[in-house]
Amino acid sequence: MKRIFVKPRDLVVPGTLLAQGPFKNGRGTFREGNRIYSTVVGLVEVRGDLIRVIPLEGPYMPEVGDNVLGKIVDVRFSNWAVDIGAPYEASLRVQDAVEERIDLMKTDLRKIFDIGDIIYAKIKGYNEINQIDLTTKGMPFHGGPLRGGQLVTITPSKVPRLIGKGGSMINLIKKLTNTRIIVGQNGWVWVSGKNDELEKLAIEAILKVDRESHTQGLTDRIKEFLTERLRALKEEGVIDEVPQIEEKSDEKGEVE
Amino acid sequence: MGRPEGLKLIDENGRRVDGRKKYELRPIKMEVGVLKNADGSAYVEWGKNKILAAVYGPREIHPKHLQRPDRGILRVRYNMAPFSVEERKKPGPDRRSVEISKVIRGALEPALLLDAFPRTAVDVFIEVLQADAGTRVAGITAASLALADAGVPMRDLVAACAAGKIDGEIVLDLNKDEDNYGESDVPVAIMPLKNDITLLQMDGYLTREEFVEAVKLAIKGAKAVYQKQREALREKYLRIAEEVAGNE
Repeated sequence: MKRIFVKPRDLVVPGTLLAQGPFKNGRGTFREGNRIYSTVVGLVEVRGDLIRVIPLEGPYMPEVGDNVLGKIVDVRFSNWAVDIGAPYEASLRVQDAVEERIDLMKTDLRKIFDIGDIIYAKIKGYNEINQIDLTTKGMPFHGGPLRGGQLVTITPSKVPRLIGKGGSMINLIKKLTNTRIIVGQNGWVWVSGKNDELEKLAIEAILKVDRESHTQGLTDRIKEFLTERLRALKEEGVIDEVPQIEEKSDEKGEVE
Repeated sequence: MGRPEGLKLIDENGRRVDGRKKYELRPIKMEVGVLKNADGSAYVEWGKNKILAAVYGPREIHPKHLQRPDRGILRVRYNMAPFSVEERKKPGPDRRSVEISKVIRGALEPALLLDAFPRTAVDVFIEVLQADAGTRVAGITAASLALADAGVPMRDLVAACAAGKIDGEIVLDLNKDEDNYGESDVPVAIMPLKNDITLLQMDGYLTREEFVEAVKLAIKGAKAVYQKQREALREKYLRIAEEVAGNE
């Protein structure tokens, strides 16, 4: 017998019975006999035979190929230790950071990345003993260090929501606040704007997406929120013009 | 045992010292996500008990010999604030709180799926701000909420409640006076989905029949607590959804 006890996008808590029968249990669920239960607080997703729960909280689990933001926590002889918000510390080796061969005896690695620097890197490897290897090769501006901006963190599972369908959400925030935003898959977000007020506004919008990620019609609400605040900023004389964005009708129907 | 003269734990009408009936829980209030800097947190008011729980992790641990290559470990600290009881409590861990930390760890561990995070630890801090008997069950209830709020994968929430014997009768959820001057106290923690008992202790004396009755009663109480836990977890997000809907 095949039965589903919940609807897609239902809010569930650990130990909620989701389904019974020959379903595949995806992330955020576990199987006991032929029943599938939720293991986290999150939203139900049903895709054919696959049932999973998208968590609303939880740590970042690294996956090879993810682009992440990280913070240098230690400079060692031939590598850097990097905090990427995962349960494990990541490491970036010298040969994964610079193109040319360098003499370790003569070079001070702190001149490349120093403790406290924020870098933009790709996860190159994640193995059985939970070592995370990063690379900054091929990344924009050689991975950083990023300067002149602020770091905000959101729940990693909400990154797809912040990006939106085809980048709709993040592009909206970027365009309206005229800031540069880099979103790491680990939920770390770099925001840098020419104007402090606009930078602050962009951060507010990002945190609003994080907080309200489980609600409907979020893109429209963010647009409304930003336009309203931008008008106020214009009246205060902080900005000259409220940026206009061309209306696109396909921005609705967002799923994640 | 130094019982104040004329104190009756159950009066002629069958009411207890705080006016409750025999099988009535104290009023319980739960809130999730109260601490900004913790990965997960919860605040529980259970009668006059006030308890704060915070969860950090999973995170890498040192010293390295504590790491387990096949799973994450759980560490629990139960602590009573010096001002939590009438007579100032000397701060820091003592025999009692070390034991309670240990049994709470045992009560929570079966619910957690920590094999997904080898070599890490999940740290749970339970701070008793105000105590009025039954802090360990309230602590377990709060810690379980905080763990769910931290996104640590769990088989089920852990709910807990105590039952006991006062003036010869088995009653639910003892308060301070009932605990001090009563005959027995039985705290129980369960995972309600499969009725697994994860903590079972007894203080004082009960006959075998009384013990079974007390455990059954405590399980019933824990199931009521479980419903409140589920509501509290959903409440955090439903409140935001409502607020958003209200603005439109």
